[in-house]
Formats: sequence, C-alpha cells, structure tokens
Amino acid sequence: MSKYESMNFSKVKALIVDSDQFAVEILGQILEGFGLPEARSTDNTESARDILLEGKFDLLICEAMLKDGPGTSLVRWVRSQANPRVRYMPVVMLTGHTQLGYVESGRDSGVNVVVKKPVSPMVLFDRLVWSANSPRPFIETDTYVGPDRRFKFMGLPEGGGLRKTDLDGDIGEATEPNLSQDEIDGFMKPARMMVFE
Amino acid sequence: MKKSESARVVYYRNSLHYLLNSGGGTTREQAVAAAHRNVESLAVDLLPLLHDEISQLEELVSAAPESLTEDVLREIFHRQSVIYNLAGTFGCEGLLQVSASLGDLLADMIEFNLRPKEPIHVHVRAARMFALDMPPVLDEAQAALINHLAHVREFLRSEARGKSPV
Repeated sequence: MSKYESMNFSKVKALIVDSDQFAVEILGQILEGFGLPEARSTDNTESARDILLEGKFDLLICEAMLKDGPGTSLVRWVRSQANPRVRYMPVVMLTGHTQLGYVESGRDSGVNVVVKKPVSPMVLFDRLVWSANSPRPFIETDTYVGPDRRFKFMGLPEGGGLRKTDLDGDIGEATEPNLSQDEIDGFMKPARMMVFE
Repeated sequence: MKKSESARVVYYRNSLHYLLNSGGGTTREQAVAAAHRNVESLAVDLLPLLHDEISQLEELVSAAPESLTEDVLREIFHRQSVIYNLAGTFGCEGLLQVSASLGDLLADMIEFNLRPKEPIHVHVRAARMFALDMPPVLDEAQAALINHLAHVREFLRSEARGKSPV
C-alpha cells in the first residue's frame, strides 16, 4: 500500500524471548529490516524477567513454549507489574502450534497478538503497528489483565482502507488442523466488531 | 470474566505507539522488503544446520525409552519447533509438512497424556527423507507420505478417545 505512513522503529527497544537460537536470529533480521537496529534476546523466562525489570523496553516478543516453561507465565508476570511501561507493553506471542487451545491460552494470558511461526515479515509488521496504534483498552480484573478481549477484528480493510493508517493485503494462510493467522486474529477478539473510522 | 468480578478499564498509549509515529522511518513496503532480504541472507548459514537438527532429533528419539517421559517429550517438541521454523522460513516444503505433522502429534500426546515412541519415530524417519543431502522426493511420494503421517496421528487420536485431556 503506497500511501501507508512511514513507521520509525529506529529507537524501539525490543526484547525477544525464545529458546530457539535460530528463531531469534531470524526474528532479529526481520526487525533489523524494519529499522530496529538491535533487539535484545534471552532464551528463558527468569532472565527475561530480570531484563524487563530494567523498564527500558517498548516491545516484548515471546515464544509460547520456552524451555523452562510456557511463555504465557512470563506474559502474566508482565501484566502483574506495577510499572506501567512494563504492565501495558505490547506483547507479541509467537507459536508454531496454533491449535485452538494454544491460541486461547495465549490470548487469556494477556498478549496483544499471536503470530504464527514461521514468521512472515509482513504479518509481523502489520501486527506490531496494530498493537501500537490500536485504541484497544486494557481490562484489569482479579483474573485477567490485558488488552480487551471483547473485540472482534473483522480483517484488514480491502483496498486502501478507510483511513491512511489502515492496512491492506492478505495475512496468513490456513494449514489444517492449526489455525491460520486470520483465524488467530479473529479468535483473539471474539465478541465485538471493531469499526474502522 | 465472571459477572461478579469488577473490571477496571485503562486507556494507555504505549511507548511503541509514540516511537513508531515519531516521524521518519520506512514505509511498510520498504520495511518488509528489507526484512525479506535480511532473512534470505541467513539461508547460507542456517539451511545446512537442518541436517544437524534432524540428526539431533534422531539421536534423542533413538535413545529415549519406549514410553517417553515428560522431559523427553518437551525436548522433542523443542527440536521439532527448530526444524519447523527453519524449514518454513527457507521454503523446505516437504520438511515443513513433516515437522508440522510431528508438532500436531506432540500436541496431542501432551494433551492426552500419551507416551508411545513409535509414532514419533515414524515422523523422524520421514523428516530424514527430506533432509537437504537426500535425493529429492517426488510430489506423489511426498503426498503419500504426508497422508500416511496423518493416519499415524489419527490412530493415536483413536487411542485417546475416551480419555479426558489432562
């Protein structure tokens, strides 16, 4: 989409948490392509917590299945922090296993989006921009802290979109029995339609 | 959320929003194209490692007991994820399908607390057929093999029927 606004990733500080060193390398190159000079990474939740406590990060990209436990436990920890920069930071969960239960588990831990592996640069770019710019509020209850789940994403607008910051293009592809990226997006926000203004 | 729970609604603009929209930067098309180029440049170094990853998976499965432990199963899951991601990133379609099938199998095994090694062994042997140093697999043979793996998974699921997810 030629009219799409430029996005400046040059000062974004991202933390990648993934036990797969090759996935980290690939993701790092994707982010570098976006203009993000260097992402920090770690392969376990314990060191991720220590790093995040520095309070310097704008984005967390976390694999759903880490060697020392589920990525969802890290996300729940993030959402329990008092520092708003940590508590409300955009969290992208990556997973190669997109059966409904895995996506549901990610959503209910408080992630902003779930992205299917192997990561497509276009899908990741769109989800990052959407996570940053969406007016979606945070909901805090005794059992859940995270982006409002009562929210239905009806897909990206066709053509040029209704406003210049809207996105277009196809996203994801279906591979049974896993959910496609479209189905994941739809499932993340199951109950109310999002109106593009 | 239960009806009795009170909810607080917070409108918070994260720092990512301000940074991305601070002016300058690149368009979506430029960013995605640059990312693709960067990833392609990794292929020379990472693709040959698929062979090692398959070998490590073979060794892991071969050394494992007939009834797998939770730890071994998770280690296999980790190895499978590595192969799946590399194969998918660099367009190794046959290996991607086999590793995806193995991932589905492992997810079922964890969900239903099933621990037989043989279905995994079948998948690992199939993965070896698609290693880069092996002769190319014909499309028909690939389709038949993937279909066979689907039957292996279905057989395991049939064993799980009647069992509740743990």
